[in-house]
Amino acid sequence: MADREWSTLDVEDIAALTAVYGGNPARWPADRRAAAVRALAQDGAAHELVVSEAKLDALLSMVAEPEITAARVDDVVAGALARLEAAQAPAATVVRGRRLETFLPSPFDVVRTALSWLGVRAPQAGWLAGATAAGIMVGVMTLPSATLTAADGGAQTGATVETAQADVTDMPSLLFTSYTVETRAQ
Amino acid sequence: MDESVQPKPRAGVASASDPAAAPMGGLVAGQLPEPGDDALLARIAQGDRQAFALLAGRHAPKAMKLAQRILGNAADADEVVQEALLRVWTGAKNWIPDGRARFSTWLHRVVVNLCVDRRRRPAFAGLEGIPEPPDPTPSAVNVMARQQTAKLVSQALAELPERQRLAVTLCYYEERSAADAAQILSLSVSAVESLLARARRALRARLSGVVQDTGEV
Repeated sequence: MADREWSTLDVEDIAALTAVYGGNPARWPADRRAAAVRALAQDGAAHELVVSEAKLDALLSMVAEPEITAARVDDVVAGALARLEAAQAPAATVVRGRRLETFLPSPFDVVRTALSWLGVRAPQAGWLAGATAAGIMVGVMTLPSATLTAADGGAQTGATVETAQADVTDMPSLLFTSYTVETRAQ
Repeated sequence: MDESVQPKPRAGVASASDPAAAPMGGLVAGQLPEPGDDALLARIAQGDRQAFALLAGRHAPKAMKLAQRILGNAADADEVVQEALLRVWTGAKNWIPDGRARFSTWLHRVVVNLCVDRRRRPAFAGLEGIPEPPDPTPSAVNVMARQQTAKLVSQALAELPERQRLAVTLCYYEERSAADAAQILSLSVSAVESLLARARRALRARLSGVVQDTGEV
């Protein structure tokens, strides 16, 4: 129903109101109730509408109300508490079990420790990781020229020079690529 | 299990003063004031099971009634409410006591959602679905007629589309306002009003036979 001032209601308003909320004024929204009751006193058609809807209300009220006993409530609450206990018991067992295995950390512990170390020292670790990655990349990039050198005799001299240059300027390549020494020997 | 956290007397059953409504709870002569829902939820967030038992005992009766109305089955209703209470335990730390949201509205929303989920599961036809044998004594004729009418009304309600039935349950049987029902169902007030109007039209059509027999409607 659209927002508006409900100072007066006509039959159409009462019809719309009772079609939603039924014939019991106690269920009508507070902002419309007073005006609706006034309209009922003045308008016979509005009164008829309310009586008609109240008959449907009477039928609906014949459905029995669920019986909620104190014992049932106790059972539900006690059951919830028991499930809380049960949910927390396995966690305690796990904690006790891990204490016995403290001397031999599992692979998961190692990974977790490494990740936490990275998390705490992110800036430093980031630089270190970046430098390592760059070194590996350069090393990998020099690998094809070394392979070419071995396979293609025609390009051997140039490739060797290229590899040698890389060896001089790139320390990680020296560290990670043993084949460069062999290439230079050739 | 810790004996100190056994359920306390159910404030929800005899909550004339409704301690949940007041921030510091209700005050009964000669007793300490009962803590309000927000205070209990803050304690539950710290792992206080006694507070949990108190809050659960306060709100379980209405939640069970709502669940049983939706599910039509006491055992399922109890299970659903127990599940909802466990969610109170896990969700208490996220509760923000800003005075706008009422705990009971939140709890009823959880209950309604759990009931809807449960109704979508394949139903097991238990003993509760079998109607009780009628009382053969002649004096029970009127009672039987009334029971028959109530059964027809229950069937008509059960045949309503789910959201219409939920709106009717909340607004007519649980006496919630349309605004409350809208919060519980995550709908607008006008949408709830529309559901109610359609539900009443459908009920009137389905119960037209009862009209002629009983003179009602």
